[in-house]
Amino acid sequence: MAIVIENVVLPYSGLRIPSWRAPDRGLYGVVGPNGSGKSQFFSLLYGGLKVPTGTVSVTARVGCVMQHPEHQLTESSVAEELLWAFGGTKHTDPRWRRRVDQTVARWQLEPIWNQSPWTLSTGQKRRVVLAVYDLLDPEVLLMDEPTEGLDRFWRTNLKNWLISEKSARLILIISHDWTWLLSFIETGFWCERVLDSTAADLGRLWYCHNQPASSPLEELWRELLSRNAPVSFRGWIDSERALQQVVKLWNQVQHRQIP
Amino acid sequence: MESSAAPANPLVMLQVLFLGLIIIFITNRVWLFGAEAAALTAVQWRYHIRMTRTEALGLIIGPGLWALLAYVNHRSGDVSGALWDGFRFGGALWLSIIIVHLSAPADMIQQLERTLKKWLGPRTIIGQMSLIALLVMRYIPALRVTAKRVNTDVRMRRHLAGHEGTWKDTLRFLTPLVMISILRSERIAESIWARGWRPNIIPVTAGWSKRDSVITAGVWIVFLLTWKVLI
Repeated sequence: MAIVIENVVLPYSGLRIPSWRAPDRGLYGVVGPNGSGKSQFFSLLYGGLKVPTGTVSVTARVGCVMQHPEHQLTESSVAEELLWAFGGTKHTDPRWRRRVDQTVARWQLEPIWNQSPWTLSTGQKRRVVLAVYDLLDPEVLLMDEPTEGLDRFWRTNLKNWLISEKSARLILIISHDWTWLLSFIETGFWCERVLDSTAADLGRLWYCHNQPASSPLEELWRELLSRNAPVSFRGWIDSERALQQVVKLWNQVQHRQIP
Repeated sequence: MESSAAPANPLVMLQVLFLGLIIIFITNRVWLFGAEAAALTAVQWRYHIRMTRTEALGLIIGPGLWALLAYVNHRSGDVSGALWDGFRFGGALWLSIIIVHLSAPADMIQQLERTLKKWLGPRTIIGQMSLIALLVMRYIPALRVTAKRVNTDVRMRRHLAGHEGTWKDTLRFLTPLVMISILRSERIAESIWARGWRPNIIPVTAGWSKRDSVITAGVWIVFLLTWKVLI
């Protein structure tokens, strides 16, 4: 295990972590109410927080896309922002150059390449930080509210990139955007007073903990699930899928297969 | 509040207030404090400033309380030191009351706003002023947290890139700190603007005369001399 945490209590939030071992790789959500200590948990993982009790062992190369991109922008242009950490030493290596080009193309940074990061919109700033950590290639990537400020197009792009990275590294994502999370992540850790040591089904976590509903469709789904209707926990995140499941359910009711 | 005609432009009065408070607070000689008190008395007499009952009471109770607090907080129970602190606080309070009688605070702020506009454009500077207040009171701990986060990120990126780092890395936190401060002050300015504050239509309260330049120069000379001698 690259990250092992034992008997830790976080300051301020009071989150207890009796025992937590990081999975080797894959995509996981870290979900819970506001102020429950999710971001602090990330700080613990990337070495930004010291705790007086318990043990924290991190041997992996950790990178973090923080909640506020402003905390990660230190240079006067997007180009410098992306490259300063490499100190310019590898710039002549064609393979590395190709990697930079791919990253720049993936996050569409060409139009803003020479622009100051401080003149960019929140979504653009976020893309710059995402590109930085894409290029840095960490073994464990932490993402705190990565969809904040991103439009629909970039939320989808980010989702696709994360799916493609699923087998390459461990990615932990904090988000309150359940529709986005449930559309591609299977499991997650619930964080409220105590951090769950094992990952649970994310759909079940949504159903058990996340109240109240934020849309009529979500509300309908909660109602169906509370009546033990045979619908999936994730059915509501996609209206097409929801319709299919409801039609199937209706047919079953019509044919008296279910009461 | 009873006051006679303002002796100078409100901006001059604001400078006198600001520099005067510093001069009084750094005073550490009895004769100098005596001279300051004499100057305050002369100004009060010259401009026929009559304090209200509340102001007069405040001028007695305020320094008394200040001295008491200084005495209580001082572990060795230094009575003369506490009294000295009380007197200086009283002097600062006296100066503030006189200045407020001579020039309304709103006039001073408006004049400052109007003057700074020459360099800062049509936007309100109240945001920047609020930032200064925030810096003093609450902002420094928040900036410290931001600087820590930025430094952690810099370390993380260097470690991930396998780069040893340069001397510049220790200073990288400055850019976000400055930029976040500017952005935050602009947001405060915007929210004040959105609430109807229109500094670009502030009326001119007073013109600038030669006498204003002379008083300003004089105050700055006194301030710099006091600063040089006492600190």
